[in-house]
Amino acid sequence: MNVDRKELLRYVGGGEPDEAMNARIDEAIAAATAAAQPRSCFRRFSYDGRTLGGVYDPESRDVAELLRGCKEAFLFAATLGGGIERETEKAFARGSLGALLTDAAASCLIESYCDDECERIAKEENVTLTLRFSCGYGDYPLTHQREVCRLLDTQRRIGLYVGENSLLMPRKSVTAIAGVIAHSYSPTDRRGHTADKCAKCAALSCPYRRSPASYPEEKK
Amino acid sequence: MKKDFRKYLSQNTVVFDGAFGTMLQREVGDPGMLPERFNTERPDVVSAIHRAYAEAGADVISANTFGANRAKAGERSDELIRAGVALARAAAPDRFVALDLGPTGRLAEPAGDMTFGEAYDIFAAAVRAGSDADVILVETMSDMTELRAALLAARENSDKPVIASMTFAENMRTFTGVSAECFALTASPLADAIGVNCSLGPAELLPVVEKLAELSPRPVIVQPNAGLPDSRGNYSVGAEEFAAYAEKFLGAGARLIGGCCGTTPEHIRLIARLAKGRAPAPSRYVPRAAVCSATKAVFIDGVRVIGERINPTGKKAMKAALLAGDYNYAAKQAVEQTEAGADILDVNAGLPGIDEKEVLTELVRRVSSVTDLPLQIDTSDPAAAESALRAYNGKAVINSVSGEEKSLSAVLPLAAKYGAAVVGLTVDERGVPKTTEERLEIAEKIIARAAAHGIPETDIYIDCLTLTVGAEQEQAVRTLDAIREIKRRHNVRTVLGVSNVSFGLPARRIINSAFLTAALWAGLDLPILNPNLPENMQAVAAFNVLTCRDKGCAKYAEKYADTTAGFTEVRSGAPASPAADGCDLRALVKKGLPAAEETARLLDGGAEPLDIVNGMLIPALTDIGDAYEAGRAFLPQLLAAADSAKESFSVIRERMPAAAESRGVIVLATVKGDVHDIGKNIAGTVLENYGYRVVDLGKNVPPEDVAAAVKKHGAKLCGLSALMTTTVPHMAETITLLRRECPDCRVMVGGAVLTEDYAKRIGADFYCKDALADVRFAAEVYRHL
Repeated sequence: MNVDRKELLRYVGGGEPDEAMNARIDEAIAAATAAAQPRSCFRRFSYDGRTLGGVYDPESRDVAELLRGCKEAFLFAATLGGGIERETEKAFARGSLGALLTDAAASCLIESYCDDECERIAKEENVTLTLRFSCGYGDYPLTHQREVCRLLDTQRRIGLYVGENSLLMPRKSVTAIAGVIAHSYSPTDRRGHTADKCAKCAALSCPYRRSPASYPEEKK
Repeated sequence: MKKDFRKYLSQNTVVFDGAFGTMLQREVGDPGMLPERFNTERPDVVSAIHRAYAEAGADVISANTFGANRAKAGERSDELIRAGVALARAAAPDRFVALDLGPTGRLAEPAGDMTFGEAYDIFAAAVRAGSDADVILVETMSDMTELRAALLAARENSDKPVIASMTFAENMRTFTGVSAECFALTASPLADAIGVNCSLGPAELLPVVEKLAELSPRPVIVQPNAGLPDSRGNYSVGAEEFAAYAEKFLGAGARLIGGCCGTTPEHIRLIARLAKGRAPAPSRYVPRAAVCSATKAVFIDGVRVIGERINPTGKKAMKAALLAGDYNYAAKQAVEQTEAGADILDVNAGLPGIDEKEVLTELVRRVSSVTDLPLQIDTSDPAAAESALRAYNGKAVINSVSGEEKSLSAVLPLAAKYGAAVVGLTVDERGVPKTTEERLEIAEKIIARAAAHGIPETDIYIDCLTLTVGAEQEQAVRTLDAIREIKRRHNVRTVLGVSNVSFGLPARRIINSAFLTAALWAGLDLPILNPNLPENMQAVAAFNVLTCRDKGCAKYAEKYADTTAGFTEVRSGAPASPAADGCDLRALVKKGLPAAEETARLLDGGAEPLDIVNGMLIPALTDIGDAYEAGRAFLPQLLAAADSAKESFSVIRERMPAAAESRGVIVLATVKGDVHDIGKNIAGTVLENYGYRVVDLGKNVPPEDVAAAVKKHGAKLCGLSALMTTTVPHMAETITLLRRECPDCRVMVGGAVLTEDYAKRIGADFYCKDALADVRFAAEVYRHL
């Protein structure tokens, strides 16, 4: 789990950091990393082209597209825990720049943690996974957060809750679905499949959309 | 049959039943609905499980009500709870029936959106619906707010015994960070037994049980899972192995034992065999003086510093902030004092012209969200104290009770009910005592009266009163004598506000520091002081070295290795100043460098505050704002400058509050249901710098609260933020309410999913696309007035 500085700068609105700003970024990364209490959980399902194990229908064409040809799929959830909330509040009491940077560092951390965990799970379960796809991406309804978290029992297993408005709480949390593209672990297959994560996604206005080189930079 | 559970518990080792959920799954597979609905739809299945546990020898049958609360079961809640309790009773008429209360399924503030009040109402309803049970089992809790809400709801809506059980992860904390220490200190006064269940297997829970048994005067309950589940959800610890652990739990001091996920009647049969006829294990409780927040326990077994800065008395800037509804200033003080090394923070909102009950409670909430230090609730108003104690997620100190009858009868019951420690002030109806003996007499009266309420000496902190040597010089020594003597006679702790000693004298810090050192040597445990002043913390550090409390001088060496022991006030918030470097204030602010020192230097040199504001700060902000708009500077640079300007303004305001007259009031809030507030916070900082008074209501704010604040502060502009499409409807709802209740107030909105069009559609006046847009709208609104 680490922070991609380029990604962090993109979250906070760009700019070339000078030495002082770089020091502040380092501080924020250290604070967020120390405050994070990352936890994750997953569940493996068979996939019949529409439902996961006969118990869950994502009701999304984009998910169906992602899982096309898969015979199995994983539901996955991860959170950095509530400690990061206090860290951001604390940073804000000192100044808004620190809060912005800490918050952005935490966003980078949860992404990186999800990458690490999905990699670990793929290895342990000896499978190759598609890219992760989350509620709210494309036509995959945000309101499915509740059902995904229920199926994973996230509240009991990792302390992840869903608010009345489908918001994940604590904030720096992710749930996702991923398909099994091969029944053995193969980083090469995976790289081919996930080369351009966000480019595949239909959620063009998603605030967290990454902009790979091949993708036009969005207007801020 | 009506057996007395409390009496049974005092004479027996009590056996609870095992898992319900996993038994149900065995019976019917994935239930596919709320398991508590089986109470009405398949009562036969529920009864059969209860009977199996009764036959196995369980003394207590937990009704199938774990998830039947209103948050999960909605309007069927009461019916399902009543049915569940009745089924357990009918299945095992000669056993105790527990009303089983699990979590609501919602995450409490500040990380989540459930308030203490909402949680309380949910549990209170469940407790009333389950009134036929013999005992109330609050279990599988991982959040302190939710746990306290459940326990208080049980206490206040029932006279049945209450058991509090939390669920811990491998790091000996719950998912929200509650430690075993904090749980024991906070829950023991509110429950008849405390303990742990679920999440882990017996091997992992043993150390938690050992800890709880030492920390709590209450009997300890343990209900482990049958080991940790594998990836298919199977539990591996069989009945025999489980029973072997049960023996260890009983040896570690557990008095109530049962099973959680994966356990079966067979597991219970074997532990019942062990426990039957066995006298309860003797208590292993070791009384210790301690207070805690939800996540940090502070044991008073040495000098512990209480930070005094969150108190408007004699502090112009704090006073102005509280009057203006600005809690961020107090939050900053909390962070500064925490970093300066305070162990406990005093929180006081006593100010004419404010609703102390409301403000103190909010202050406790806001301060708790930025520090994990335990709080001392400082008020002379018992109603305010109670309201703050309810909101406080831990074991607080109440400051204070005095020897006056009125105070004793109002404050001690609160300390007893909420399990708080209490400062005992040695004054009474006769006024401030002049002799050591009078101080001791009052202290002992307080100690005796507290004992009658069940408050132990370890929870009483006697304040022998600092008087002013400028007026009553001989009193300083009396104070010290009284500290020495009360510590000799009783196992109480002592507390003292130090700085009053020098009132009216020049160079007060010299006297304060000397008096502090003397008081520490007399036996003072809890000095109340400003931890930002280096000589205060230095005196404590030196005392700890000289009395061998700081073993090997390790902490001292670590802290002061690189120090030239300067005597300037340390303020956090910005890295140490690189000095002015030839930059003037305008350049410093524009570059986002620390500006407080330079501002102070200018003021000391006779500069007019208004000249600084108009001649340097505003131009600097304009420069950086223009650069930001033109795309030459980015958000981080803009905020660095904003923070720098804010520091400068804050120095000016501390010296002369009138110099910073506001251009208008703006109420800001992140709407109900939303906890993403970073954008709102940034907007607040920027608006403040442009001279507006910002009333920041925080996040997850109900529409009514926004409207009430707009009215109260006469705001002509209100800013709302929401992150997700799913919370924007609450934004629309808030705007509708504002239109009705506060037609003069304009509304600006911002948030990731909003656009100009979307903002119009929900009825907003302005859409803020970035951090400076708000400033333009504010100027527009307030210029028109």
